[in-house]
Amino acid sequence: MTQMLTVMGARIIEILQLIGGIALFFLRTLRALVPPKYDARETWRAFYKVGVQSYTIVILTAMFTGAIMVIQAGGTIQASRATSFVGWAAGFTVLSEIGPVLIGLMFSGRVGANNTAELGTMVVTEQVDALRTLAIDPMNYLAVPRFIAMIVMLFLLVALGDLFALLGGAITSHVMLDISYSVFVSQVIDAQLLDEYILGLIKGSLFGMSIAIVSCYFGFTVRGGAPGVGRAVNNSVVASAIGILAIDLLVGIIHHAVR
Amino acid sequence: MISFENIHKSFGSRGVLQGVSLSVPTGAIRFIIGASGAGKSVLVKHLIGLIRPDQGRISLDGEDITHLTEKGFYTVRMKCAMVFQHSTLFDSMSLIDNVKLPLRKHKNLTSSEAENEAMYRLEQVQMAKDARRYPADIGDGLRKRVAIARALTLDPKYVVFDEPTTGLDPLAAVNVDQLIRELSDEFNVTSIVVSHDLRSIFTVADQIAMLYNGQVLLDGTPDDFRQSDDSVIRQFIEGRATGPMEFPKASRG
Ligand SMILES: Nc1ncnc2c1ncn2[C@@H]1O[C@H](COP(=O)(O)OP(=O)(O)OP(=O)(O)O)[C@@H](O)[C@H]1O
Ligand SMILES: [Mg+2]
Repeated sequence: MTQMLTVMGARIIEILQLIGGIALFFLRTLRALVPPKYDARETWRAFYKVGVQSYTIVILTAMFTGAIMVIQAGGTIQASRATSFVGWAAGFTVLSEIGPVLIGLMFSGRVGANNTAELGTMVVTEQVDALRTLAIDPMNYLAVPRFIAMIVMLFLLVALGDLFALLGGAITSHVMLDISYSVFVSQVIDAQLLDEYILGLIKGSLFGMSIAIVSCYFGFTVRGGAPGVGRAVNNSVVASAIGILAIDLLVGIIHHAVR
Repeated sequence: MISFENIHKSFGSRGVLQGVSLSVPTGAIRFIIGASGAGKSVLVKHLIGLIRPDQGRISLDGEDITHLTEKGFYTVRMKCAMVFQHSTLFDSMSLIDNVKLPLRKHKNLTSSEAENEAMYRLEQVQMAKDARRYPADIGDGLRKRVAIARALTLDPKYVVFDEPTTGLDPLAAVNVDQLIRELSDEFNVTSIVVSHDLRSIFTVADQIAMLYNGQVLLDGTPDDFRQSDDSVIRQFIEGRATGPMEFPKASRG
């Protein structure tokens, strides 16, 4: 019993240390943002990589999500003959909730994991030390471009994903519930979901920020050669997922409170 | 003038450096030799602040740099370059972009000036024809040459070479030796060279220090080493596998 408590205690301290380390890293990243002298090439490369790596999975995820929401809602709606609600039901949850979260999780699994692996490899092969030796600050040169790219790209990807989610929903409604596209579109417009849409975009940016911080942090703190990189990638994906869900909850609570 | 005074450094319980003192006069070439794991790389990384000593003092031109902050070390690194033991080129960039990076960051050059300058540095190590290739596509020896070119782009006053000729073919090795000698003779560059290469040791070095059991076993000229009758030194420079030399335990953390 006491042994179990010791083990649990040690684990809790470890997690608190990790949270502290990530918070500190976040502050260091913010400090590296000013003065705004970013490496244009590295920033461009980050945008390009992040975009190329993620747009297909984001589009696929979004379309499936839209389709699933319609299927889920469809049964009840058909039974109650309230088919005019389908657009609303699909749009409401997808835009503000499931869309951003699923897109964020996919993004983290792809872009975040890749980023941790890249930075971790640079650490264990001493490329990060080589940068410092050339009097180039790794925070400014490596972390900042990734930070900016992930925030902006996840914002854009959620915006794009929303369109594809609605497209997925529209196709499914047409095929399963025999609702024509024009009716679906007008339903979505009538539902006045601008609020949800904006909330989703805000969440997307915050998820991008947390994925950037977490994946860079785990990359920069790799120890122990190639196996260490593998462990770090693993931890980074898990921590990002927890971060996404925690932010989702927090934003949900705040949104609810201010309404 | 570089000087290390009484440097101590341990990793966990392993005392890698236990009171190392040595100095390098301006313009001289100082070789550091010793068995694998003797702490040669650890020692030289202290000079540019990649590793901090547990105890001791490091100074550069009379300025105490032991306790500089990371930011403070950036000014040191601008005049003190390092070629790492493993070449550490940036995988995501072509060879010429690797060489151009310090120029882009620290010098106000137009892109064609930077291109020309980087090309010149690559020619110095006979790598100009491979300029557009990527580090992953070339061998270790070639990578190391490009790393040397990159380290020299900012015209450093001090250069640390960690095993610059290991992995190079004999001709390329002689070329690198000549380059190091030239930097010293013509530009008064001060160098520290970590090496196992007996031929470079005896043709290029002004002074040699041998690290053994965390301390400097002998500090002297190549002649001092040739004439030494210390059995450990004889074993090392004659390259015999058997003898009194104790090898550091191969351990990591
Ligand atoms: N960052 C570190 N953390 C823990 N131990 C380290 C670290 N860096 C070096 N060591 C240990 O210090 C010892 C000396 O290493 P160092 O790399 O200086 O040897 P070396 O003399 O350069 O050998 P080689 O000829 O193989 O390059 C080794 O046992 C190494 O494992
Ligand atoms: Mg070494």
